[in-house]
Amino acid sequence: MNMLALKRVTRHFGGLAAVNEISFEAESGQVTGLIGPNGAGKTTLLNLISGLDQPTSGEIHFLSQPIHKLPPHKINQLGIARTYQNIRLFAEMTVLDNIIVGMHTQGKASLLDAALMLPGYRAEEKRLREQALQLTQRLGLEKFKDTPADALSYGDQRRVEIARALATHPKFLLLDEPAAGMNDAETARLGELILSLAKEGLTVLVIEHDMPFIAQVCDHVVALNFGEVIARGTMDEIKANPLVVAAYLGEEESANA
Amino acid sequence: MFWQQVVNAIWLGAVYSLFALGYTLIFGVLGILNLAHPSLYMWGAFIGLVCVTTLHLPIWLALPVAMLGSGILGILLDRIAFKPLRARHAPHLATLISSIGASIVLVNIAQGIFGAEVSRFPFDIFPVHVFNFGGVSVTLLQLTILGISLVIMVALRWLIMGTRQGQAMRAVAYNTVTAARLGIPVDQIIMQTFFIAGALAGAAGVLLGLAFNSISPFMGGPMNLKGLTVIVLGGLGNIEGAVIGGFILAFSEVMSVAYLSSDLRDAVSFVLLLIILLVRPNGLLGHSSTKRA
Amino acid sequence: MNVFSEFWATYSSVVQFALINMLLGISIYFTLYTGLLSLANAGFMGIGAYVSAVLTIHAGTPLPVSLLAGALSAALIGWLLGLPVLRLREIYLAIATLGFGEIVRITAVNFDKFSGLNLLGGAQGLSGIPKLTTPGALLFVLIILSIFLVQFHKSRAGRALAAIRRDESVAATMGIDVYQYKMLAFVLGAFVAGLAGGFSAHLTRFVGPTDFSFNAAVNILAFAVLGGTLHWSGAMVGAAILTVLPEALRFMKEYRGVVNGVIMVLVIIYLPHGLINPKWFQRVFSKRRAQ
Ligand SMILES: Nc1ncnc2c1ncn2[C@@H]1O[C@H](COP(=O)(O)OP(=O)(O)O)[C@@H](O)[C@H]1O
Ligand SMILES: [Mg+2]
Repeated sequence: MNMLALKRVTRHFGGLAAVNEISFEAESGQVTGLIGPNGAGKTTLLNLISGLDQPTSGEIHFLSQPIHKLPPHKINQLGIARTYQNIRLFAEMTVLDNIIVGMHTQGKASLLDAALMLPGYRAEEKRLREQALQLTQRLGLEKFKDTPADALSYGDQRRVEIARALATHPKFLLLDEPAAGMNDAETARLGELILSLAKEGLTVLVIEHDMPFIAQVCDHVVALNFGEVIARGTMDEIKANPLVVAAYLGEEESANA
Repeated sequence: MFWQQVVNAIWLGAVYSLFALGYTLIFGVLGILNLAHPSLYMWGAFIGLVCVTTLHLPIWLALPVAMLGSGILGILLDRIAFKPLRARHAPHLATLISSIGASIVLVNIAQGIFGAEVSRFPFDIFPVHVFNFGGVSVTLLQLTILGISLVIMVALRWLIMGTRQGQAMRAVAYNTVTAARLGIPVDQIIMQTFFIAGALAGAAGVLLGLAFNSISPFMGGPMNLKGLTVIVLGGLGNIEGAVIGGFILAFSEVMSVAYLSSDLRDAVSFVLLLIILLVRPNGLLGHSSTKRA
Repeated sequence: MNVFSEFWATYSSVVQFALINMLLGISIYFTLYTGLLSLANAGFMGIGAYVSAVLTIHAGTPLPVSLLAGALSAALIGWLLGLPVLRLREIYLAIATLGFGEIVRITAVNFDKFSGLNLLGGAQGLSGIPKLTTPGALLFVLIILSIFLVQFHKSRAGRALAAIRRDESVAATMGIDVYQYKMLAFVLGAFVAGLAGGFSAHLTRFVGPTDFSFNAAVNILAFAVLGGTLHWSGAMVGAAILTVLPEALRFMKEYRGVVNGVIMVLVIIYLPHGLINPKWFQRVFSKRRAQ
């Protein structure tokens, strides 16, 4: 069964088609990789799925339900969470507080409950805190739990973003270049984390430039260039695809120029 | 009756536009909503008044002196209230608050010097002459105000579109960093922009001060909302938009007084402002909001 | 004791104005804490003042009832105003709320004429309101609100508002309904401003249509700018200082008003987080512990 289905999704910025008639599915329980040179439209696609941006045309279905017209908080409540390529943590808040913000929809206490310090409110706060602590442990962040997020290294900040996204209890996790700024050891551990999350039933869509990493974690890969799908399949099929090779070669040439 | 209202709206609209041009220019070039702009307008009126009453200058000389004075005030305003914030890339809201603080200072200093009462130009400062065109009357003063406003607007357009200075201003508006890389003296351009905006406000102050013959430290207050309405109507930062917006506001005000109720005149600005913010937040001529990011 | 009663005789009204302004400080704190620059609070204060005064005069309701009715009316109008304007971002919200005090003024001036009733006193304003405000009542409300604020920050709603202020798109992708929470902050602010208006009407015994203009809105903003919004007490401290300061600056005569403006500019440039910055306290605190 597919969890997410994109149907001819298009997003124009002025004259530029950043995403052009893209269609593909992400299978439930699988890790799908999204690759492509810079400017290919990967982040734009993530923005469209998470509701931060709306497609110019086309449809996005999540669990067979159209979501391309829903606001981002509704989409999150349906079970989609994400991280950001340019880390967007709540900077001066502590790591634990960042994660607890992510637990927003898990709480039910109203402002009145809090103002009157009702027992239900206190029990809930305790439960959320414990869950947040568990997440810091799972992501190896427990020693930073009271550190302001912006005091951490890039790699640690990326893990806090993942923890915060997981805190919303997603069914589907979108990761935008999660390994950027990580060293090899961190990247390896990230790969293991993603695989273990997938084993527990989480569906993942991950954007990455690190090809060995993609090969390690992804069941299925979609390659984009100039806003269009140029190839899809297993990593081995993708690597052999001349269009993909050309796209990356083109990027290297322009980088060397 | 109707045509008389149209005539009234035209000269009033010209002054509104003149006032709003400086307002929108600062936003266009620097992304600052300068709520002290109405105080420069008020100071322009007072400088003009002092020129006429204390220095006994003729009014045609008082106008350029007032523009010079409020232009210089504009530069001072930038140096004191905005430049330090620009240096540390403070958020929009910080500059907005700083401009409010500056405007409180400017109004209170004026009140200290000139008193809180309404001041007036001497009665004989401008020849009273009424033209009559088939039942529609226009005073020489109104015609002069219209003429001067139009001349200044045309000059501004030429300055921005037809000179190197204007080209540099547009470059700074587009992107300060790129402009600096291209060798444009950004700081100097910003100074010139504030001078021009201040001078435009000052001119509007003298002209409206003459038209209503009433000058007070608080005359900027009502212009705050009017000016905002005009520049939001035209799209923040849009020069042509400000001119069109000025006329639209003047027409709406004049017509609502004539055909609805004079009590509603002050509400017109706010209602227009709300409608346009909700329906077309980028203004009547607006482009998409991604342009200025 | 004698010294105290003398002091009180001279300064009791200043103290009560300071307490009312502290309420206004709290009212703008709610919106600023959420990252919203709203200039509508003076208008909400006006609504609270008029409604509570009319009730006291014509229905003879006791102060708490009048105050609550005034505050609820302000909250209701706040909700109606918020429906459209909270869709706007940043300076567009500031612009849209800037004229709201003006609308309150126009409504107050014209209400009697258009309704045929004799309630608000038109341009002359409404006078002869019984003096029911007491320092005790003000203190009581302020203490309740302070406790509320402390709890508020630890609550789910408080965290949502803090997240919205920092990055509202990210907050939205965490499942937070940004619009609803902005509305919560806006309406809470309107409620507290309405409360302050009620207290003020029953202290000065007068409500005038021009009392809630742009200048009043700016003064309220100045409280928060001076005190800062990093801590809930900031705007209250700012309000207290800016109410007492003019008394201390009597010698400056006509130029007293300049001080407010100078403070705003200086603080925003040199002390962008205001006077009350929790980080300083933490630092002082941890130094002491280290010694
Ligand atoms: N908000 C925007 N406005 C205009 N152009 C944009 C915007 N966002 C992205 N783009 C353009 O869309 C294209 C795709 O960008 P992006 O999705 O960030 O690529 P990727 O993540 O694959 O590197 C780029 O050319 C980029 O400049
Ligand atoms: Mg990207």
